[in-house]
Amino acid sequence: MAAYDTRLFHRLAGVLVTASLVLATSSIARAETTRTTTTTTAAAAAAAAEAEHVVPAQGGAYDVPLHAGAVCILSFPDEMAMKALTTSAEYDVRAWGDDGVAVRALKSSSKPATLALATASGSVKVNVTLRVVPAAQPALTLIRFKAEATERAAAERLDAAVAHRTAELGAEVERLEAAVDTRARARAGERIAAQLLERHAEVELGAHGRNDEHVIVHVRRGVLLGDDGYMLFEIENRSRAPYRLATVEVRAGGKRISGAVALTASSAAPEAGAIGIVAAGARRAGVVAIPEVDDVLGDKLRLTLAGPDGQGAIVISSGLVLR
Amino acid sequence: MKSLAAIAIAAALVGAAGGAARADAYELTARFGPEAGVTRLADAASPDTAQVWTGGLAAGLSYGVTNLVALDAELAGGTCGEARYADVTVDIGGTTQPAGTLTRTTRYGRALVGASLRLGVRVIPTLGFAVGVGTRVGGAGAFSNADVMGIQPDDDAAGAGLELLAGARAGLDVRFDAHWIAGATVAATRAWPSDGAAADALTAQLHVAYAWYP
Repeated sequence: MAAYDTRLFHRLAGVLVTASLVLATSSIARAETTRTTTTTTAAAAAAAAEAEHVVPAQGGAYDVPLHAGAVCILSFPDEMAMKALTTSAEYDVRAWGDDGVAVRALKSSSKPATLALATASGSVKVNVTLRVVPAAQPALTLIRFKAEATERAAAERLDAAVAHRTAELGAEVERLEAAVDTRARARAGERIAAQLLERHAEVELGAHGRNDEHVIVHVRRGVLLGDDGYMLFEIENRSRAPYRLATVEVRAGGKRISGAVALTASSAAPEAGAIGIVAAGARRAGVVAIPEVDDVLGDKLRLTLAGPDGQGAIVISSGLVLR
Repeated sequence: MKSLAAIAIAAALVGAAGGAARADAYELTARFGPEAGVTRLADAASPDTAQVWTGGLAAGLSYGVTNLVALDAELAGGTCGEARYADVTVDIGGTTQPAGTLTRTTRYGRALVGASLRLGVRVIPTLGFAVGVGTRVGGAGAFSNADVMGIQPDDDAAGAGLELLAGARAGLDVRFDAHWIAGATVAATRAWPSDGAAADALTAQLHVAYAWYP
């Protein structure tokens, strides 16, 4: 059973890690595709002198700073309509494969010049302004133009794929969680059954305590279940303010012996660090576990309930003996 | 005294119960304090009753059956002021005396059990009833007229007598913390002596109490 649970845990962890990676990848892809037409990545501008532009269907105009003598490649997503290319005395403009154009400023005194470019399919139409800048200023050596429609379609396909995979992973997580719940419930049931067979007894207690704010604790009975013990208590709040329960502990001979604590649910959600809240005028039942109760059977126990920072402590030091 | 009886009956009718509220459910409370009041005493030597002041001490225990109802037990004792009966004729030395005044001082004790209704948590109005037995120990009578002064009559009714008691009471307690309580109670009690007419008493008590879970 333990090996099965370990495999199940590893499987669940793997699914969660995969889901995280897919979601992270999706986020990155979305960030890439949603850049505006004028956005240049900081890394490209600062280091590689590259730029990337997503061009709307209607076309766009872009400034291309060049260093004199340096080649700048204008890259397009598909085949270019090369008939527009012309070389002047100031700029050398040539085809760079089927889907690119290489431009070079021939002189540092070259005047700005415009260049109309388009792909053969018409998906990208741009008007670039070539401009020579001093060597001290940043210039571009590579510009990628992408069609907005193509990018949007790719993003939509990616979104759909991510959504599909996320849904699959979500379903897998739910299935595994349900399996874990089922196994946990089954294991709890098996343990309770074993404890019932070992020992189950109810112990009448009848101890009470209160604090100065008229919050009263009644401990009417305990339960011996297998090798564990439980002390059932009720908090009766006769004050005019809510009672915030933060700690419940049972001690025997000064040694803390209590374990888990539970309080019946209420409409008021407890704040962090609190076990629960008992509204003014209300009663709530609770239980505190005493693991390995055999060690303290017959001992005089001391039950302490307190709020945050020990406020409103209620101590019951008599009448608490489990036997 | 009819008014005292009316108070008692009214308290009983509204379900009021004995001693003051001094405990919540499962709590045991011990109380102690002085009491003072006024009562009417009858005497075998006179057809009339005499109204006298009373003063004494009371102690009691209460156990909270619920947060609303407690069971009470009380012991009290004290003394009554000098009762004066006018126009009394007695024999002294076998001779019937002309009418005069008979005076007598009486001590009392009582044991009551009852129940109380508690109507609060920190400030606790209380209503209750109690029944029990009492005793009155009459001192020697002193007869005076124009001829004699302070002479005990021949067939003086000095001595102890038992009586049945029933009463109602109302009070107010204030709880200071988990243990300490103080309060006051006013009680109207009717006594039925074994050898005389019923007598009424109105008593006020102050008390300090200590509560704990036994």
